[in-house]
Amino acid sequence: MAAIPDLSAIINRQSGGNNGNPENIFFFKVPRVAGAAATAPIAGRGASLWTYDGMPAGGAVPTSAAIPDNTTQGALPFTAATGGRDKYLIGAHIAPLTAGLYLLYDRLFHIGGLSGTSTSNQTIQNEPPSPALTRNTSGAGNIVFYEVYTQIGNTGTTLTMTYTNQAGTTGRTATIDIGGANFRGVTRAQRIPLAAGDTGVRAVEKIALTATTGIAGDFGITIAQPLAWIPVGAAGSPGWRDYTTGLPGIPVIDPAACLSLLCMPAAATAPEVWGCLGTVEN
Amino acid sequence: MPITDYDEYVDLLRLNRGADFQMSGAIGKVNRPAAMWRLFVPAPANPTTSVALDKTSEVSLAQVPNSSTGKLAVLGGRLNTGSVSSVSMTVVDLLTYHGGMDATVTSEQTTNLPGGSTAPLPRHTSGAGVMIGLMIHQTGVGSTATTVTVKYTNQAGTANRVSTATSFGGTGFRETSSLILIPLQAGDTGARSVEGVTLAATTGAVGNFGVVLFKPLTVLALESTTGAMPIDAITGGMVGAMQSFDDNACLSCFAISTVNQALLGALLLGEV
Repeated sequence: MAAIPDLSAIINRQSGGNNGNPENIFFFKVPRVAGAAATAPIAGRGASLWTYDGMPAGGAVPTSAAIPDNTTQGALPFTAATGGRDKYLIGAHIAPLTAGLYLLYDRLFHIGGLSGTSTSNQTIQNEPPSPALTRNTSGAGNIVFYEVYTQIGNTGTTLTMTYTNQAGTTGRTATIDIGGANFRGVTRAQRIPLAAGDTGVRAVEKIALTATTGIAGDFGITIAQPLAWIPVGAAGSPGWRDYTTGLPGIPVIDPAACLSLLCMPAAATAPEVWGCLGTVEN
Repeated sequence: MPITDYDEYVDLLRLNRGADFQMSGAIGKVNRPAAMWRLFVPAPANPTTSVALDKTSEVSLAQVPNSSTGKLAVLGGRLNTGSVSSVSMTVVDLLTYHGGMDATVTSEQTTNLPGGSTAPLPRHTSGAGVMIGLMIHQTGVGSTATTVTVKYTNQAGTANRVSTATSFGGTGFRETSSLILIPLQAGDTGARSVEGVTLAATTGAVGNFGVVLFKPLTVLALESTTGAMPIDAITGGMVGAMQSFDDNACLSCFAISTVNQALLGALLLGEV
């Protein structure tokens, strides 16, 4: 990977010089899933826009363990860099109906079909992992969240995740609430905090619920690499980031990245989003 | 020719080649996309059929210069809002503009739609990256919420694709100037033409709406606390700067705003 040397080089590539291939990737999401009104999220808690209709179309609910990529339905389409170049995200803009914090991420792994009533171990990738990650394989910086596809039960319990950390250490465990009020609705996405000292995830081996939530529903586990956090202060107000002048610098987009959005809404209103990503190659 | 470096970019800004616009009043809609061009001065007429648009159209920003050896690109802007608030302003190449549809009809409406052999796209003819919007013209449609689907030909030339049902009519989806974005069928990345529009139920009022096909170019964030906003590619607020566009492009804008308001100003253009 060759870093973009300076501001002049970015300007040059943005205007098409040196095979900069500038691409502005526009997208929108409407608060509907497969043509029906989306479930309202919980204010202040994570919501996945993976299945939301829009451009791109909503992603399908995964049924088995899979490595999604840029060709997977639901992924934000873009032109992959070629010729030994990398694609850089130099800016991001989101103007949503719902204020909050939006995350652009690369969806590295996902699985659905997990049960909200089973208290047995539910296999995710197993150990050794299958399928293993194909992007950001070291695990550094990767996050894990559970994602509800069909509402689970209204009895709160605990999910224990067993995973391999960024150092390759297997059998690490972490816990999080699941089921009950605020942890059961469709599109609800809850990040799972890692064990002390861990800074990423290479694989999730299995999960287990301490008790039944009361309804099986359907939920899944997603491993993601965060690319851009975009805060939006008010409904209808633009949130933007300029990575040429703003920290933490300019993210690289993997040629096979499955780009998607996660939201931490400030209100219990299903997000409706218009946005753009500015990119160049180097 | 691509811009060589920072100094050349600043020199281009100094040329002050502005494409101006002014609006006759407030947009009439908040928090969702609204077409600014309906209120441009002088006032554009509501279309009754499909109209292929270019730089001479009344819904285009004024004074878009001709390029010489290169292509024009959006370098920045100097913009003012009527009220102090935030606005997301998207610059588009408006391709076709259409009107005369009835928001009480539940059968498929197929008359005079854009694209196809009778009114083909004037630019971006493959349809790649071209978005479909339904625009609500002079009179809003009814207050009964329903859904709409659109039949279209995608960017690969495949006809009879059907969009996912999306909201139409009722609060937030009925107001004059509303631009309702249409989610395409899975796998599609653009539209070449539109063959039909179908409402699931009546909205309760005939109104006047139509189809707009457009290619988004760049987007500007207006968030100054004074209402006066100089924006460029370096100091922030602009994503996708220096996007070049066709010489004949109908350069226009839509806005998402926290309050109902008017905008005026200019996009700063340069040749790359």
